[in-house]
Amino acid sequence: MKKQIERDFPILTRKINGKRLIYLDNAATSQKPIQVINTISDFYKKHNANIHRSIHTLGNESTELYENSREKVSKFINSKSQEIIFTRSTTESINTIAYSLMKQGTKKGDEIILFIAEHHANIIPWQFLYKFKGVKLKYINLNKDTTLDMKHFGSLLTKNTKLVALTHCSNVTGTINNIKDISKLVHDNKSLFLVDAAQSVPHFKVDSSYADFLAFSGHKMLGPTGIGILSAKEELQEKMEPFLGGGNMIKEVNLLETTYKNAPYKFEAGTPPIADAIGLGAAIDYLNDIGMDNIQSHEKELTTYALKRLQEIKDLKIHGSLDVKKRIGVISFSMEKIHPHDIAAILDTKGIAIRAGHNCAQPLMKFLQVPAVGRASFYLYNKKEDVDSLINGLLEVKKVFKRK
Amino acid sequence: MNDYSEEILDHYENPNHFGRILNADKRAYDLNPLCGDHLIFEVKLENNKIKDVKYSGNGCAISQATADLLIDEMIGKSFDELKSINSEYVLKLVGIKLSPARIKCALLSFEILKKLINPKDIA
Repeated sequence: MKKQIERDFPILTRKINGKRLIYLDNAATSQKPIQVINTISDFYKKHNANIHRSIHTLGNESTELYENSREKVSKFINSKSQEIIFTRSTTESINTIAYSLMKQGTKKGDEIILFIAEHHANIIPWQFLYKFKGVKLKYINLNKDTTLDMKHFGSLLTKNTKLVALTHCSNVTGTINNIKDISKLVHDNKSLFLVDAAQSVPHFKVDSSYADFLAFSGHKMLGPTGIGILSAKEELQEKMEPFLGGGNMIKEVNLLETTYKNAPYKFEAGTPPIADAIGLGAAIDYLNDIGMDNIQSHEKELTTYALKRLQEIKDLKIHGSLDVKKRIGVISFSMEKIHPHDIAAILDTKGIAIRAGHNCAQPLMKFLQVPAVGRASFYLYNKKEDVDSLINGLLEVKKVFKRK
Repeated sequence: MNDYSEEILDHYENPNHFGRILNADKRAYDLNPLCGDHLIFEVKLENNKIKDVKYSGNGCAISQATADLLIDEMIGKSFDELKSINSEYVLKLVGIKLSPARIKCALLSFEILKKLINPKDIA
């Protein structure tokens, strides 16, 4: 690991309530290195123009920078440049598949399989299909250690299964699903496979070739907000209708009919988030420079240490596997009779930022029988000292509530 | 330093009004989708005055303690008399400085009170 990584992140020098910021809410969004901030600022200062339209120099430059980013993204996840569709978020990426492929490609009685631990972004778009087309939604259960119950999954697959849409890593339990093994089962069943990779792509090398569709966000991987990615297999793109219609995605427009550009452009209607896409390219350069394998082993070490130290706290329950081979550095926990909101508020007075709540996964919360959880999540700039501060903060929480 | 006064912690740990009134005359519910806090107020009336109120549900210390404090204010009054209560009044009852996200925790009870006062929202 490159030393002093935190120096690249200006926000980490901020004081919160007089204390050094300890940012442990990376599963919600990551902080941005100066390299990404400068790239976005340089774009607006020197190159700003709309893309794929203008013949002038700035138009050429912005188009080239935007397309370079697409190239970087495709290499990063082992896909083809043409397969990368820029959206605004993981949510929009998943909705794109729901509307452009599944809405016309499904009928009453068809089935979609989801994991009970899905983020709302990978539940609600499919509920629309349930509501409007009568598509059946089936949920895979968790094992005791919060991993996906493969046996149950096998029993849910039928000839009516049109799509299996799974999270790669749970944003609550941190559990990693083995998309290689699952992919084989799904494709042997002649179903399509969508992977919500919002929590995995930022943290370790992900190979998109196992999935028909892979969705993730720029802002969780050091990039700006407002840029999402949908990687969709070339042969499936042909079957997909555009989700949004408008400028930039057309070849020829008549009064009642239009011919579209080829993919991926036919899925990028309107002026896209150009600066954000270019900023994402800079984020990928930064991650590649550090090395995804280095990031993964650093986070593994940190997670091992955090799991060990959290278990020292009496009456603290960790919701997720304790085996670091099966999980990423997203750790959700409860403390007996202390609401996570109170935990987060007291930690904030010490400059420590964690998430508290249902983490956009209400079905999982109901399954775990907790109203809400506290969640600490790590990234490349976190250090062992941050874990120590978290532990001291949690002990302080117990003191405030007069717990032994 | 922390946000939690002894009074708030006491109302959270040893609430005066936590529970259910199964034969309630009025009932109202609200939740905060941000954190999943949810509360139900159940009201027993006598001669147009509030005889008793109980709250149930789940939430953080601020939302639960505020419910307890607000119910102290409600008992013995008519709904008409409670119309003068506004959000500033409720925040003053809480008595500690709250961040914007946590103001929502405190005002959850106030949202429920508004539902109880406004007849169209009677559950």
